[in-house]
Amino acid sequence: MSILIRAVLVVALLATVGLFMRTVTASLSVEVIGLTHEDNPRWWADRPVNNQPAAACAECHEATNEAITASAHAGVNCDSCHGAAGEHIDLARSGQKAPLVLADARDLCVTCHAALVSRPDGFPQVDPATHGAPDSAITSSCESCHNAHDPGFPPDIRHTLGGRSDCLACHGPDQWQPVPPSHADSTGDSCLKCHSPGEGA
Amino acid sequence: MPISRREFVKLGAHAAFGGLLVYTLRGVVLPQSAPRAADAEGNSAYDQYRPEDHDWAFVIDTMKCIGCGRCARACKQENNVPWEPQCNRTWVERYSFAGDGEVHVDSPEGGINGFADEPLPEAIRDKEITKSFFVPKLCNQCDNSPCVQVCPVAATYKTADGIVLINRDKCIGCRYCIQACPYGMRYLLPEERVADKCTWCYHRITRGRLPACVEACPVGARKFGDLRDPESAVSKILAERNVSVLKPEMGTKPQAFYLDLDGEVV
Repeated sequence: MSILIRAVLVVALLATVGLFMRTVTASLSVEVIGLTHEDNPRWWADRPVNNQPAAACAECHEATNEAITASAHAGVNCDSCHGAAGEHIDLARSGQKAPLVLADARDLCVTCHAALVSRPDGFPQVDPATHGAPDSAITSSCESCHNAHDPGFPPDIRHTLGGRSDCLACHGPDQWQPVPPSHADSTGDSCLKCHSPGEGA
Repeated sequence: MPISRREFVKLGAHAAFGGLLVYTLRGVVLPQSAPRAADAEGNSAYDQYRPEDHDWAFVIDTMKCIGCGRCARACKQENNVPWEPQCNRTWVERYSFAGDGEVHVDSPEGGINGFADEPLPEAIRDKEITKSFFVPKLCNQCDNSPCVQVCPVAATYKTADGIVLINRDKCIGCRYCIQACPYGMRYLLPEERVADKCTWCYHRITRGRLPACVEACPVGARKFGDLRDPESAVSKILAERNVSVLKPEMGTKPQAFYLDLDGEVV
């Protein structure tokens, strides 16, 4: 009987001491062993920023930034097409050569503007297979006609001719924007007799 | 050598006391990791930042998303998320509803290249599509986070401004949190062997900037702001419009809210 009482006493004593020590150690261990994370939010907060806002690009590319912010592409951040510019800007600010790789512009355009049933109605979309002048060289690049930094809505097609001499590539009878019927008599004449490059439609 | 009962009990008591002493002193002798500075001078934008003053929230407008995937791509570049094996902090899902009632969800490569290469998911290409839209996904920074609750080493925690972060020094890579997240937001970093996930770009928002995905979105489908500021875009949306959260039945209390979310989205 006395052995049992002693055993109970020993267990009770150990439990009491243990519980007391626990209260002392708990607060200590939470702080010192590291169950809190005092420095960790700082570690996350101090990670480097790679993507840059358009304002950072505008430090050098002022004209481009002005054009795009006044256009239908105002909401498109530079990085969305050109990639994260963090390193590019760091290099440029220190006066070094700062290449920024741009993937094929056409790939970039269709990422947003290829027609998909899943896209919201009203968002400008085209079928890349048929859009533009089919079977002509200009389908290879959206930038032949459109300016990504100032696309306009509806797009203002560039008419600087930019090395193109063949008006009928776009304005032929079966093409993207055929000449009006009133031009039937003019066939054979040079377009440039009446139209100047840069005039627009 | 036989020992008396008294000696046995004394020995036990000593052993127990010694054990407690070691437990007490453990924290004192373990090394503490030194604070990390932001730059060479030790300056950090975080010195000026008070987490208690913010309550960040995210709003996603599924009716605006065009599925260009610029968000997922910007996130990879911003946070150095590995390209291989495929893991994403944020991605875009495409929901397609066929006329016969079948719902198909796909997200090729998390949508980082957009969906133009595959105008319709192959599985239901021949069917009539009655409805289709995109749903961007990212960490919900749940107020009642299963990932925080299950971590056996308390490596993941919620900050005062409401972001769930992972302490890489403490994470043991057990993957329990990856299993626990109902939204599949977590993955194991292949090299570091620690859990990782979206932090709503904690390094940007603590500097007063937008998360990279919000800045990259060309159509304003992602909105981010402070609920403590009644003038912020997210405060106004939450005050004026009906929003829903993903898997509300899980009781996780997500802090990412969805506008015009279809009932079929999980």
